[in-house]
Amino acid sequence: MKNQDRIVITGAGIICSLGQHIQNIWEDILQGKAISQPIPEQWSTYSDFKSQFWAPLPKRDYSCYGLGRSDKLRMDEVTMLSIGASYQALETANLSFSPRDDKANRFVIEDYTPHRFGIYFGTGTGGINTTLSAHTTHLLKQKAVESDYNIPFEKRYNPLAVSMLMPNAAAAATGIRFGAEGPNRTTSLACASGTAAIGEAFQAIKRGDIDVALSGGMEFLSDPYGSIFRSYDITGALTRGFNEADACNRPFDQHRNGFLFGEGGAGVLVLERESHAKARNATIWAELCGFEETFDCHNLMSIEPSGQQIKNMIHKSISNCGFTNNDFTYINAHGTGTSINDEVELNIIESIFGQKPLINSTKGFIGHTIGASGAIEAAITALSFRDNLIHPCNNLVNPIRDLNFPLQSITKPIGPAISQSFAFGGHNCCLILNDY
Amino acid sequence: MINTSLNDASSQNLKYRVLSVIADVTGLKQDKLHLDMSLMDDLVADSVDRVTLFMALEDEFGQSIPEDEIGPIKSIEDLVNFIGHRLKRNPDV
Repeated sequence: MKNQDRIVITGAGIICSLGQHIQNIWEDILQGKAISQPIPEQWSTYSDFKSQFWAPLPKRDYSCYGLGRSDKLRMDEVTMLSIGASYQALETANLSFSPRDDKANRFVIEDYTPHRFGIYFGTGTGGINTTLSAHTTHLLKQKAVESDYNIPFEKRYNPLAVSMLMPNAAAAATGIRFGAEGPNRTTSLACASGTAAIGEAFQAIKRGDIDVALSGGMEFLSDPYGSIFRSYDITGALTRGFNEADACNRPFDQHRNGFLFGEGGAGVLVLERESHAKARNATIWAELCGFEETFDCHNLMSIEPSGQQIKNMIHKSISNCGFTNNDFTYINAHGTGTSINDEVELNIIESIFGQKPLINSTKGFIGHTIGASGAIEAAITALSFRDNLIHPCNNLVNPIRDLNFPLQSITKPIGPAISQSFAFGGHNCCLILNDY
Repeated sequence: MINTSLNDASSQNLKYRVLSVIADVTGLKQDKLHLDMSLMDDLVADSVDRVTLFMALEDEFGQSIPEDEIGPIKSIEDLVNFIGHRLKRNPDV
């Protein structure tokens, strides 16, 4: 066991509102392409919404990840997003996988020992789409037939509902698909789920439990009636009052007033023990140096205004990694675009790091994908190290602080960086990455 | 023997579509499938596979397939005949 080994990132996959291929998504973000569209017109049948925009996923082609007709019947969309992002992650890590038997839908990763290969995923709501769909069919099927209600719903009660709605389905199905016989864990910390899951995988490799992990976050928050959107809209957390879709998502800007709701997505990283990655001549994108978490113990829906617990988390993670505050050159912020979150986050960053590090928000381009967001942002941070590129901030016209916000993409080698997430509930998580 | 009371062309088309669904659901190549194969012993590993197969067939042929009617279906040939009879009673939608 080589516990002194460093932990490295050797591949990643993303599916989000900008597309389903990580390299294309990365190039779009670097060019400042953002997604924001009007919410579906049919949702207005069921409610009036304060927020009028969201970041929907584009039409997905899952066949390129080996997912076929039966997978679509057996899996909630969140599971298919997970397998798609995992497939990409393995491909970008230059791993070859072959069918496990004469059926073409389960694989063996040739460079991995199955029981040393783990899955660590995070999701805020798991298969909520299936939960709502089954519930709607259960309630409406007989009545709708009798009363001719004009409500669209699945006519067949899904006999596989349990295996699709359970929050651990995505991790379990991904483990089965790619032959990962090591620990298979699902973490749920709302918007910090993906970051926490990567942290848990990091710790498992560090402890010597496993050599390799697929780790990340995933979410799918869509239903035909806008019910899930409404649950966020009613809290007042979503962007509102803008006439132009393109203007409403503006983290760190004085005119921000909420986050842009993302329909969903997934981000998955390949984490490996350094010696393992080197043994197979993998290209190393970045080192994952540390993970920390704290809990606000304050309010289920609002960040603690002093940010003391977040400061504690950052100080501890910097110290554990052997860095100093002054070493940090880049922060991929939580950056939701809500009034209080951005205010508190920038206060914390300025008090710890001063004006030096570059700061951006990936959510400013793709919307907030809740449990997937932290993992997508970790993947974007890893790409920044791989390519020496930092993406810009979207719609940042009047920053609320005089800090180092890139307004265009910047080409620059970077040193230690933080990717951080703060969640409903009061959970704070951060990852520290560095150039390898 | 396929005994659906459909004409030959329809019967061949039906057989092709059923085999295509089975291939999709099981991950097996269509040319590996034979009419005398047992659904439970040769094709589907468990009850989830079986449920998935009948859901896929419902979607393919626009038919509702009640659970209490599928008990006697043991082989691919039984399945093709079953679908053929249902289509005769309730044409493909």
